[in-house]
Amino acid sequence: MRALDWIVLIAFLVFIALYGLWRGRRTRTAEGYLLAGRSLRWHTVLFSVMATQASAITFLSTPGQAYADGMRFIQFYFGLPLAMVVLSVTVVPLFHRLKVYTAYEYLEQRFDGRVRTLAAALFLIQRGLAAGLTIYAPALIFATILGWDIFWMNLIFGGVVVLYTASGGTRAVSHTQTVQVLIIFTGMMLACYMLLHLLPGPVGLLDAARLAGKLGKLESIDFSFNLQSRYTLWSGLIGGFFLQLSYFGTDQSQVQRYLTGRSVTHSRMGLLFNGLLKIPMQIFILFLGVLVFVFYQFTAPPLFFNTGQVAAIRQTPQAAAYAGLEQQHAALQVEKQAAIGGLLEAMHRKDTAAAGIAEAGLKRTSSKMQAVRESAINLLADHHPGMDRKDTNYVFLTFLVNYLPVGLLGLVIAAIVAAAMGSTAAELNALASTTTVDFYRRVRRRQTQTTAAVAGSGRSGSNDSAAAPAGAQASAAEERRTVRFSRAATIFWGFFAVLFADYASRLGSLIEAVNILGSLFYGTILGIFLTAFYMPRVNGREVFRAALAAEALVLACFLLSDISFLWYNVVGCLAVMGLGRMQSLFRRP
Amino acid sequence: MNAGDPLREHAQLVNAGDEKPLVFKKWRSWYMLLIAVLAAIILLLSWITQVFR
Repeated sequence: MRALDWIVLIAFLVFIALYGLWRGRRTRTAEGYLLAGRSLRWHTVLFSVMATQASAITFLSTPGQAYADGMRFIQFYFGLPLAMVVLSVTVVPLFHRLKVYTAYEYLEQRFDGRVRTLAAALFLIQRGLAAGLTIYAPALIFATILGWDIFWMNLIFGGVVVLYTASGGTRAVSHTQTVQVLIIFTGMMLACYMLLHLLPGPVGLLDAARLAGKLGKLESIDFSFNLQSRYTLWSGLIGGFFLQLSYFGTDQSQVQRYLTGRSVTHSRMGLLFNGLLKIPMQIFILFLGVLVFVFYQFTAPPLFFNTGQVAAIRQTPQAAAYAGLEQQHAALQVEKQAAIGGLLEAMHRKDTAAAGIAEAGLKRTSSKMQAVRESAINLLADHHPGMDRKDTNYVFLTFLVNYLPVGLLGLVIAAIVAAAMGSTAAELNALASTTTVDFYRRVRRRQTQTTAAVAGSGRSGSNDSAAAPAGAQASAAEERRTVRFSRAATIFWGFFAVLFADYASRLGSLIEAVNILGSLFYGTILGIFLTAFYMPRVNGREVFRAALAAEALVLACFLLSDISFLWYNVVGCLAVMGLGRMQSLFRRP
Repeated sequence: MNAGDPLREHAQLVNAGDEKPLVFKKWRSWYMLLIAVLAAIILLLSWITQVFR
């Protein structure tokens, strides 16, 4: 990165911090701090929901996934619009009318305090760890490609997020997310323009699509019903539906976003527009990866995109062997370019016979290049046995750093940092809210009730006219105390996330295991909520036992079977509902 | 369903005082639009997969 890129990035960070502080000023009540006074319009809700779901990894990893595996990943999102419809019909009006601050508050009204505590605690564990990864994962990629120090990156980006989130609460988070989404879209549009601009002269968008299609990168839909295959139409529609329903309906980091809507209409419109825009946005991001793939058909790609691993092997005796593989790869690249030239020419002439021959030649060369790459990865793995053999996370950033002009690189990096900050801010905000509302406030209320009972018995004959202003003063003081506690909780979770991010750098391959933690818990939490909504005969004790049993079943699936993780959400949810209902049927009157 | 039935209370809570959506007159139109757009995207992607194969 050059000076101009740094200026753009630093200007963005300073602007976001100041804008967040300004937007969140004069927040004094608990409702103002935790839910922006339930006053936001639908478009702010929409951008906030989108920015919460799209983390930096969405923009770094998704194009790399398309580069390696084509557009199949899009199927993961097919359940999302259906989930938005169901949530708009059920959860949104219910939460609005009950005036809850967190999703888990509703569970105490429907069941009992124990179920509420269980769901809130599961959320804190899972989201607390995920917040650390949201900070760590992009930091690792930036550190590898740009040579930045992970610790300082975590501290600076995490520090800015904690500053405005702790100061202004949800209002600051939602408004900064709106700006962040606009910067993200601008950055991605510019990256797309540059990719098309960097393709060789006669190769246009249609040629790029044809070439990607011939090499299998545009295959998006898999109609087969295979439980082991991670992304199919059915796992996306069914498993994805349950996952998105759970994420948007029971994860406080999302629930909090639409509870800020000024009415049911504004919350619903935010969610429904998210349902309309999310899949096209993901198609666009995946297509960026396809364009990077096409670009690297005409320009020699690195043999392995994780430059940290490559730099390490250059210091060892295997450096010569690795350099030999690089030479083979480069020679095959020249051969491949000739085959691509022949294929495009044949396609322009509509000469199907010649196109078929050129395509076969191209596929042969691509297979040889893949074999050379595998040899290189084996060599790297021999030197560093625990290394991640996938380099998809590094593909897009490598392209950006090497080919984007000065200034524009700073803007696109700022867009990726914006995505990291938006999702982290929402997570910290939700963790603080749950800690405050589902734990602190309940303890405080119990203490206050005990104190009031003692005081009441002591002054049974006192004058009531003095009690009203004193009560209002006490209530205002309690509000201020709640806001102060929420700020402290945000700072605590911010420190926890940054420390866990630093610790995660030493976890190695365990990171992936922590990353699928969400799917291990989401199904159970969703099952608790769906039982609450649709099974009025099931009581708190029954759903609590069913939730524990369902969680054990999901963990057994994870440890003992090779079922794809999207299906855990279905298993956990149906197990809670089924076991809860069975207990209620056999309950003694 | 009897009065005081939890399912009935839940339904009342969800449906009471429903607010109007933007653009359309009924929320149902929005829900249909989302499902139609999803179906159109799946069909379009299947078509692209076939055409560019």
